[in-house]
Amino acid sequence: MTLRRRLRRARGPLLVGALVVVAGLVLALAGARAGQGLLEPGGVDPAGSGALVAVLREQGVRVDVATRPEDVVGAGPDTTVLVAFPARLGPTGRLALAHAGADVVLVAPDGAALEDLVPGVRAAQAPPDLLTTGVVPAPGCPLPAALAAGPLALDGAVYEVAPPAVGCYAAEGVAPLAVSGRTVVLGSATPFTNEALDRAGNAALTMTLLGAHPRVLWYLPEPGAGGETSLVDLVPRGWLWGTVMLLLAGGVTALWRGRRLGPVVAERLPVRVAAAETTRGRAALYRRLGARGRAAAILRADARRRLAARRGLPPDAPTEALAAAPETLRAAAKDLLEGPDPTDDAALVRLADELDRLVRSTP
Amino acid sequence: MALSGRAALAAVVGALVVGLLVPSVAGVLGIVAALLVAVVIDLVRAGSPAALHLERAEELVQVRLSEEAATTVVVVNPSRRRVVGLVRDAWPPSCGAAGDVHRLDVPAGERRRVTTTLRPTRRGEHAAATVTVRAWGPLGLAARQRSRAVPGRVRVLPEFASRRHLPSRLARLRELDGRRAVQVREAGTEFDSLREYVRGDDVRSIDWRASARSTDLVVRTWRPERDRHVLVVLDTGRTAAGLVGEGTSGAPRLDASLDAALLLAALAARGGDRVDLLAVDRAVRASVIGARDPLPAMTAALSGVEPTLVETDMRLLAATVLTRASRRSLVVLFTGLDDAAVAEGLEPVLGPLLHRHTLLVAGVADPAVASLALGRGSGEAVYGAVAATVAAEERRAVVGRLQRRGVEVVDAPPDELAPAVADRYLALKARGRL
Repeated sequence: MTLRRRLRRARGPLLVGALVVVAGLVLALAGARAGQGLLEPGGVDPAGSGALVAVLREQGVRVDVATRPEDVVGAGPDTTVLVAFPARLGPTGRLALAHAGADVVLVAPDGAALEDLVPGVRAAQAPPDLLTTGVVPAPGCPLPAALAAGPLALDGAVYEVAPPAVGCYAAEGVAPLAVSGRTVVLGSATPFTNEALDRAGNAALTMTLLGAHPRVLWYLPEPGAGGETSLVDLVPRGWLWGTVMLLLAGGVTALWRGRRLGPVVAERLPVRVAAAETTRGRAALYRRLGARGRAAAILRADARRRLAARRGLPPDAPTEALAAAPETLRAAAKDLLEGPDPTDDAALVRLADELDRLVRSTP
Repeated sequence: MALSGRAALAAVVGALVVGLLVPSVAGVLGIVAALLVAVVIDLVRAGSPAALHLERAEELVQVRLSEEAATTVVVVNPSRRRVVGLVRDAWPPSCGAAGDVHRLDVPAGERRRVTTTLRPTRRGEHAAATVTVRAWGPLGLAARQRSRAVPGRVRVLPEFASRRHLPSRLARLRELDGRRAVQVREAGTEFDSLREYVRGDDVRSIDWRASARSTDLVVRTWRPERDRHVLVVLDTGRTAAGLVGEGTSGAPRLDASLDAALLLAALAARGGDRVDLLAVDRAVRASVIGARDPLPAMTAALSGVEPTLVETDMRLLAATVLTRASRRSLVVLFTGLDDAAVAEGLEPVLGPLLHRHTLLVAGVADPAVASLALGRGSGEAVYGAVAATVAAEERRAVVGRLQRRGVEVVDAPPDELAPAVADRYLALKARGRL
């Protein structure tokens, strides 16, 4: 097989492969250009935080994005660290935050993060009316941000607060916002989003929280980073090693089924071409060229030959002699044998049928 | 070496053991090690296929196409270990060796015969491929395997389907013989014997000179000429390769020609004529000259003849015919009746052939073209009919040209060719044209 034929044969798979690569690149580029998702610092969609970051930068606050615990360790007292998803923090991340000298804002932290970073604050069940009423009145705590914000629309998690921590907007023993030393816990991510930034006191709250120092470290912990247990670790040992052994068993099965009883026997076979191929080819050429005149002439000549054979005349006998049947047929026969060329294929088909009829009706 | 389904099953059971009882690397390694040890033991304890003596009971098997033949491999085990397993006697696909895998159980020092049935689908001589022996170990987990060539051939003879026409043609031949014995001398007869006149004999056949020497009236009897020479020539060039017949069931023109040639040879040999054979394209492919019993010799010689995709060298063909047939003969040439091939190949060399011999040209007509010519009812069918009519007209013209030059021509579809050629031979013989 020549290289060209090989390429031609592989064209389909190559095209599909190229399409997949191009589509992947396009998606990757499109995804990389604008961040998407909740609390994405560059995000321009409703759930992103692009607006907040833009306003902070306008006010002269430097906003850096961090994804790894090492980036957080060096944060000094002039920095506010916003932890977007504390639930993703591994032990390393929590340790790094605890040792950082910066102010920390935790957005909707879970139990582990609270325990390590904010002593005195525990997750609690939200009373139903807190969620339905929406706006909570006065903060009732000394946090400057809460004071600046005033009444606030907060949804999400609430916390039980015990000294030394202080709760804000407390109602029925639980608070959606809590302060413990340099750490602020906020039960909801909504105030930071583009969609909700301009509602109630959200803007004041978030600006005051993050604008207190010249630098903000926007910490988006990587999922699974920092020593989280992987999927493989979660699978029971038995399943894991059983699967490994089963794969080996698959290999043995492949060896069993793959071993042939002796080599394949090849054979040289003769060429097989239908002898009527050329005739069919000629028919297709006539048809493609629309050679009705030629076709009609051939059909007429053949009909003449058959007529002559029936009457015992030489094949070049005159039409009158060939079509000497009943008087009524004679004109029609002459027209059939010597008439004009058919104008379309349907006429040619009719001509063939009528010539057949003429030959059959001739004694 | 080969592994068994049992080994695979053991590995799956091993997976269960690892999963339920010892879920650790050690468990996996342990099971793998156990399996490996078992496999090695099996391999070591298995009988040795290499130690077996394999020989074929018959080196050459002859079989007619579409009939069955059996070929036997004798497996001798001279070693001291029993060999249990499988043996496969592999043949090329067209030999039709279905069920070529057999169970094998040869105790030490004994022998077994393994018979494979062949139902060939293609003419010619085919060599056996390899014989493979797989010997399982005592645990049935692993086997030793060895393939070896055990020479053997199968010669697939032409089907000779036209045999069924032979009895009726032989009867005609005898009739010809008998009729001539009481009639007067004609062309194509030779003197047979003198016998007493009986009432009813033609008075013109009375031999007066012999009668004068005898007390009775004596008549001469005549019989058809015998010991004439028939030379069958097969053109195995490209025109013989085309498949004739409907659809995929078509067979090459050569097959029909072969069939007709065999019937003619059988008939002529019974008729007391000498039959020789040539198969020619650009070289002489087969040649049977002066065989005492021509039919088996020709059948064997033609078994391996295949059409080749080259233009036949008609000069070579004519020259070979002229050198091989020294006295006046009936030359029966099976060839294509295509316009161009005949005009450029056969016609230029007709002169010397006709000068020395009587020439009968037999061509295989294509039923597919004949049915194409009847197409009506749609544009496609009518154009097909037109093309087929043109082809038929060209063929008629070729036949006409040949006949005008004094060549006998038979143009018949494949299943009618053999009887048509046989009939023409009988007619020529009756007319004394041999």
